[in-house]
Formats: sequence, structure tokens, C-alpha cells
Amino acid sequence: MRHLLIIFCFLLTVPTSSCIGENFAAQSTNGPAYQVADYSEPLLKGVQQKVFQAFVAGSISGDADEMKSLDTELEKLYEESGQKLITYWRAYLKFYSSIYYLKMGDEKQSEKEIDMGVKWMKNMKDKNSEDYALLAMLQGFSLQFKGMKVMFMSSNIKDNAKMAVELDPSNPRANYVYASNDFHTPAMYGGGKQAEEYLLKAISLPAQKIENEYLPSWGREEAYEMLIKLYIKEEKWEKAKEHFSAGTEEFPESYTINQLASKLIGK
Amino acid sequence: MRYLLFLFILMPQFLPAQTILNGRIWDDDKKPVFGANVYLLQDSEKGAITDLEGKFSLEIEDKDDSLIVSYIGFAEQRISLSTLDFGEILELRLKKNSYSLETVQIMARDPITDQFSTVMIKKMDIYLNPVAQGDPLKAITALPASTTIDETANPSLRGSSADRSRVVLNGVPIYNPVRSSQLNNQGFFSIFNPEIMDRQYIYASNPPLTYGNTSAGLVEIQTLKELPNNQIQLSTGLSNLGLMLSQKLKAEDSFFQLYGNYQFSEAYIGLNRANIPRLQSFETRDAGLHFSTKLGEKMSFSSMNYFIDEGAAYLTHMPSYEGSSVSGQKRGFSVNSLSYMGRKTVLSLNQGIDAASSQFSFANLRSNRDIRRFFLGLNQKWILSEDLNIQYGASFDRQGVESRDSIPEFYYASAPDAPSIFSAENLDNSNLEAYAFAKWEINDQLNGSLGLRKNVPFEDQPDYLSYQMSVKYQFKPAHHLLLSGGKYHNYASPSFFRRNFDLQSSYQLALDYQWITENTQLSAAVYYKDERGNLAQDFFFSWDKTLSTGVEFSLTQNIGDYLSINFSNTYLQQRVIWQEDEYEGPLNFPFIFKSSISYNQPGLVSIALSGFFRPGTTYTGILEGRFEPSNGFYEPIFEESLYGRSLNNYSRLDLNISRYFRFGNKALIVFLNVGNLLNQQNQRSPLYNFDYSSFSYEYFQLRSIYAGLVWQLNS
Repeated sequence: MRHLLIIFCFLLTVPTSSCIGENFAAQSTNGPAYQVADYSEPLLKGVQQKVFQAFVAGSISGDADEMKSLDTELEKLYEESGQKLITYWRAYLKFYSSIYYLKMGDEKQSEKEIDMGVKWMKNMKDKNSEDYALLAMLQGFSLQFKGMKVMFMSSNIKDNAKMAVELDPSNPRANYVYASNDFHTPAMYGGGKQAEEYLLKAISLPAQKIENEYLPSWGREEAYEMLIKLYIKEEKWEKAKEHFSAGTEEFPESYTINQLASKLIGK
Repeated sequence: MRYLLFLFILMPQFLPAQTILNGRIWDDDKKPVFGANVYLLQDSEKGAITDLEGKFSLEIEDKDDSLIVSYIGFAEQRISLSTLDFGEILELRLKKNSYSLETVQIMARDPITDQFSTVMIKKMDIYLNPVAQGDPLKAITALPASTTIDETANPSLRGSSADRSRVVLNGVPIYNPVRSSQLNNQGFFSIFNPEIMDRQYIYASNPPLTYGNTSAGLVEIQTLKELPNNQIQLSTGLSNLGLMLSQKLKAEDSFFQLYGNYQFSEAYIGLNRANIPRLQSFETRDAGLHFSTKLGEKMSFSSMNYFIDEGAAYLTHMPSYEGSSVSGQKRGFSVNSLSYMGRKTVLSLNQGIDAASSQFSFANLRSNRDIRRFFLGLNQKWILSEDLNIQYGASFDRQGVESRDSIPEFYYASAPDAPSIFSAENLDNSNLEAYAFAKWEINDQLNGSLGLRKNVPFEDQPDYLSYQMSVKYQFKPAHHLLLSGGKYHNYASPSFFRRNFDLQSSYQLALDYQWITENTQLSAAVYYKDERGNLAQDFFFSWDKTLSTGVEFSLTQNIGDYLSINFSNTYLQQRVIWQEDEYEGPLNFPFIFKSSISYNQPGLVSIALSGFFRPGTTYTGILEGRFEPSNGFYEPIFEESLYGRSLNNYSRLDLNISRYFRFGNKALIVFLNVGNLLNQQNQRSPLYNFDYSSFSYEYFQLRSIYAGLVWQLNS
């Protein structure tokens, strides 16, 4: 039962985030910015945004061509350079492909996509905090497809999230993923005790220490959303409103945060 | 205007001089780092990001500034620009961040040898395993590597006797890890409770030399390190009443698990009387306490304590007399582990004491035995890098057996009034060994390990060195090949037919293949073993060498979310050598076929059907009985052909059904188990009449039914 709950909860966290698609310039919570050399790889410049755009394009058009095309380009670049950061972005793209297929009602393909992402991240050597955070997030998302196998997987997710935080406590994505795992674990199984602490930490950290369009910057918007949900669940209305204001101020276009407004009206 | 022109011409001299710094960033493995941040300390608005080749180019205005290079997972580097030669390309190597304490703790949880184990089983695997019946060691019998053929939980791995393999709990060997293990082949269940277990590693052959005293395989059990939730669990069944309390304590990461069971035979025997004619009664009380805590930030302590008081009465036949036998045992053990986590090292001290007092009586045989065991192991693991780990340590293992037996004067003369002789014997053995083990991840595909273990002989003990080498190769994602080989040693435990701690050894070579995906698990293995020493088999036979060759295959396929099918097959050929003559060994199987099909849907039903099929075992027939006038009994005259006769084919089908109900924070599990569903009469051994002129058979367990329920209350 615990695992079923975890599945459902992870389903709810599918980030239809707006900030993922935003420019770095729009994010006020980053570290210092600096000039980026012009010669850097154009495909990977703003790659997080490109992934999201491909996902949005697919959702509107009803086909995954843009995502497939981006994956093909990334694959080619990986074969040329062997850079593991490209594997990170391919796995991240698989996460969105999986969401896309799930929304299109093709569960089988959705599972295949997320499994592929998990496999790549699992096989990646010398994983850093970002890699562990992404792996734990992908694993969490994949739980919904795993039936009884969930029982064997959930402890690995916690380990990976824990490792992500430990390797870099100032990584907001690591803190968010750790909190997310705790948030979705029912209290009777020891969950729900650390989510607030880690979510508060996630929103207190800059998306990146130094702006870098080649590296991940997601996590803060998701952390705001989950924190507000947590306070709503616990009926801590003042805190929920306070973080709703802060969240919408930072991410005014965020659908996932804005849709929580209806639950706060009159509280 | 002229002044303005003059100023314009002079201006560049007053502007700061701009210089271009070109550089390239590498990682520890000499691979270019892509996406690294390169910027100036004072003028942080100016920076660059490395390209796919690790290159960057940066305009520098102030050479008194410092350059900072940073990337996730690597230590930040700061370089004073004044020390650089701007005409040269700056080549910089980033160093990986050193592991923090908790990272080490996570890495240290897994044994250094984990990649060389055949299988790793977690608690839930046991509950969902249709063969395991909730028993950690019985879960192993479902594997193709298990060549246990006598329905006990004591693991026999790849053709070796159970006594050669070792079960280790938190680093401490637990000898004879089954209940009611006596001459009658009882021992259907192990003494381990799955609720205290975190994970279990199975080394089917080539046991890791981080542990000693095994020359076959190894089962390494680790207890829980984190309690997921507080729980009270009540269980009851046809022959069992049990209580388990799992409780977190105020101190961080501290908890205890306390459990107790009372087993009784009336209802179970009453229901199954027709099919278990030889079992007359049994009664068992056991209790366990598992405690785990952290002592500050760097130390942790765990303690597992267990006590059992068991007794049984059953009809026994040996060798030509049949009558009641009574066995009883009181046993207690304590396993205590202290671990210290440093930045890159883990120190562990494991200590165990085990005391047992057992009685057995049958015909003119009376046995009283006291066993005392003490174990101390000290280990240090160094995480030198993510690629290279080493572990070394020492262990001291002392065992003492005090026997006061009345045994038949003539081995063949068993009857209440047959003559017996009294024998009192004190045997002891101390085993001091030191070891070193290294694991090296050579590259993404290739891992290697090397282990050495040397004894420090006491008095007249022989001097020996155990050694092993393993190579694991991942030739495609999810495809693994493991090649292991080595020489191993163990001391055999004394028994009725072995009166010493005899040193045994083995040479082993094994090649294991695994292909594991989310829904398919395929494994295959081929192995060869050369086992040496005094290999006493039973009252009658003993030999010097056993040569075993085996081939295994197993496939598990998940179909959809709830259905899982498994089948496996094992080919085992065994030859024994006695006084330089070679004979067929006791375990020769062209196939040992196991299969299971299970459907697990929480909230609906869990149902599993498992089957086991193999040819009958061989035995040495008795030609006739020769009357011995001096004592009035018949002595068996064996056929010349060793293991020349065969029992009938063995087949067994088990059915397990359970249903899980949840009521808020409470859960109820109802289960039914039907063993040997088709009531096959599987011959265990021949039963001869008093003069060996005729015989019938004793059978393995016939159809038996067991049902019960478990009530869980979580808080």
C-alpha cells in the first residue's frame, strides 16, 4: 500500500513547470552571471529550456518528433564527445518523453522511455550530486509502472536522493528530490518528517551557484509547489499563503503554483 | 580639437591592457571537462564555460586577479593570474571532491565483495518468493545454485555439503543455522526472522575471503540499519503463536525489535496426521532481540540476540531398527557489531558468542552435547577512490564441543537393549586468520578483485593459505560475466560420524553470466570444484576427494505488473575418490528442475505455485545381513557398486495463497500453504527390516496443509 501511495504521489509531481522553460535571465535566484564564450556547443546552450520546448511542442502537436529529433542530435554529439553531461540531458529528455507518452495514454511507451533514462543514469560512472538527484527523480517517476516491484525499488530511490544531498548540500534539486521522496512516503512508514526542512532549504538556495546554461537549474519551482501543498495538507494556511506569494512572485507564470490559489481562497 | 586628437591617440595607453587566457580543463581520468565555470574572483561578471574539449578562452584585464574554476563534483580551484604564462595554454586538472562522512557510510553499507556475489536478496524478495515461506535461508533453495535435496533450510550450494558453506550474520558466522537439526534431517526452517533482515548476499561458490572457514559458498546476512516504522505484529497459525514489536527510540536512528514465538504440534499434526506419520510431536519457544543505535556521528552499534528452546519426538529408523527418538536443544547466541566511519575508512569490530546444549535419544543411543563458540573479527575498509577499495582484517574463531554419548557398541546394532559404550569427549578448535581483499574498477566495463587469507596455526594445526581472484566484465549494458577462481579452507564440524575438526579444502573455478532488465532476469553458470579432506558422509562412508562439475540456467520473466514466471535447471555431475579409486558420487543429476508462477496483486490476492523435479538420489544397496552371534544382530553387507541404486524421481508442487487487507493503520494478512499438493511419495531412504532381507521406504514430506494469519498494527 505504501508503494502504491508513493506511485500516486510521484504522479502528482509531474512538473508542468513554467520555470523550466524560462531563461536564466528571468531567474532572480541564480548566482552571479558572466559572459559565456561564443564558441561553446550551440546544441547544449540552454538545453534544459530546449527539452521543455520540445515537450510543449509535442503536447500541442500530438507527436514526439521534436523530442526524438533533439534526442538524435544529443546522441550524435555524445558519440562524438563522450561527455557524460550529454547523457544527463538525454535522461532528462526521457523524463519528459515519458510524461508526454503518459499524457497521450501510451503507458507502455511511457514506461520504456523512463526506464531508458533510469538505465542511463544508473550506468553512469562517477555520478555527482546532480546525477544522483536526476536518477532519484526518474526512479520515483518510474514507480507508477512497476506494480509489485515498487517494493524493491523505493529504498534505492531514498539512497540516491540521500547521496545527492550529501554530495552537495547546497544543490536545490537534490534537496527537492529528497523532500519529494519523504513527502510521498506515508507517515506510518517513516515519511513526511523531513519534507518541510528540505523544501525550505531547496527554496533558500540559488538555482545555480553561477549561471551556466549548460547545467541544470530546475528544482526551485517544484520545491515551492510541493511546500505549498505540504502546508495545505497540514492546514497551515498562513505558511501556505506566505510561500504562495513568494512562489508566484518568483515564478509568476507557474501553472502548478498558480493552480493552488483556489485551495487558499478564504483560508 | 588638436588636444582631443592627442588624447585619443594616447588613450589606449591609459586603458587596461587586455590579454587572452586560453586553457583546457581535465578531470582525474584525463577526460576533458565540459561545462565547467571559469571566472575571475574580483570581476565575477567575466567568465567562460568550457566547451566539449574542455577548452575555454577568457579576456583578462587585471593580472592581479585570481582565476576560479569550478564544476559539480570537483573541488574548486583558485589560481593567481600573476603566476601564469599567458603565452601558454593553461592545462588544469580538477580533482574530485573527497567523500563526506555520510557518503562513506552509504558506500560502506555494501560489502566490498558485493559485486562478486551471485545474488542479493532483500526482505521483500523473501516474502514474495513462493518457495521461501517467509524464511531467509529457504529463499535460497529456489536458486539454481542451491543443491539442497533434503528439504532442509540449511543451504547446500553447488553440490557441496551444507557444513562446508557458511552463513554469516553481521560479520559473525552462525553455525548450524536451522531449527531441530538432528540425525533425522529435520531443520525445515532456519533460525532467522526476515523482519530483522536488511539484505542477504549469496556467494554460490568462491566465497569471499573477507570471511574464513568456508570452502564452498557463503550467505552474508545484514540486519536492518533503519527501522521504517513502529509496528506491533501478532501472528498465529496451526502451530504457531508469535509477537513482534518494532520500536524506534528517542535517540536518532536507534530502534529495537523484540519478538517471540511459541510453536506447538497438536493442531498441525491433528490436521495432517495421515501424511506425517513419523512426526509425533514438537514444541519450540524462541525469542530474539535486535537493537541498533548510533553512538555519535561516526559510530554505530548493533546487537542481535537469539534464544531457542526446542524439542521433538519422531519415529526414526536406523539402520534396521525403528522406534521413537526424542531430541531437544537449548541454544542462545549474541552477535554484536561496532562500526566506526572515518572520512574514507570504515572500521568494524564483530563479536559473537553461541552456546547450545542438545540431547538426542534413540534405541541404545544417548547423546548429550554442549557446544560453545566465540568469534571476534576486526576489519578495516579503505575507500581509496571510487575505483579502488581495499579491506583487511583478522578473525579469531574458537569452537568447543563437549560430548557425553552412549553409542552403539556395534554400529549396526541399534535397539533399546543392544549393547552400548559410553564416550566422553572434549574437542576444541581455534582458528586465527588474517586477510586482505582489494577491489579495482578498472574501467566502466571491467572490475577485478584479489583476496588472500592466511591462518596462524596453533600447535599441530596445518599451515595454509587461501587465495582467490575474480573478474567481472560488463560487455553490454545489463549483461555481466563473472569469472572467479581460488583455493579455500574450512574446518568441518564434529558430528556423530566425525570426531574431529578436520581441515578441508577446495579448488574452485566458476563462470557466471547474468542479464538483468526490469522484467527479465536470466542467469547461467558453469563451475568445477575439487573438494579435499576427510569427507565423512554418514556412518558408513567417507572419502578423500569430491570432484563436481555443474551447469546452471535460470530465467525469470515478469509479465505485466503482477505475474511472474521462473524456471531453472541444474546439471550436476559428481565423482568421489577414495583411496585413489574413483566412484560415482552421491549427487549426480542430469537435471534439477525448479519452476514457479506467482501472481501478486496487493489488495486482491497473492497466489504462487512452485514445483521441484529431479531424479532420485543414489545410495549403496545392502546385499544381505550377516548374523553376528556374539551380539545377536545382523551386520549389513553392502553391494560392491558404490551408489549403484537409485530412489524414485522426486517431484513436488507447493501452493501458497495469501490475501492482504488494510484497515487504516492496521493490516491483516491471511495465508494458506499446501506443501506437496499432489501428495507425491518421494523416497528419502530405504528402511530395512531387522535382517536386511526386505525393505520399504521412508518418504519426504507428503501433502501437508498450513494456514495462519498475521495482524500488523503500525504507528
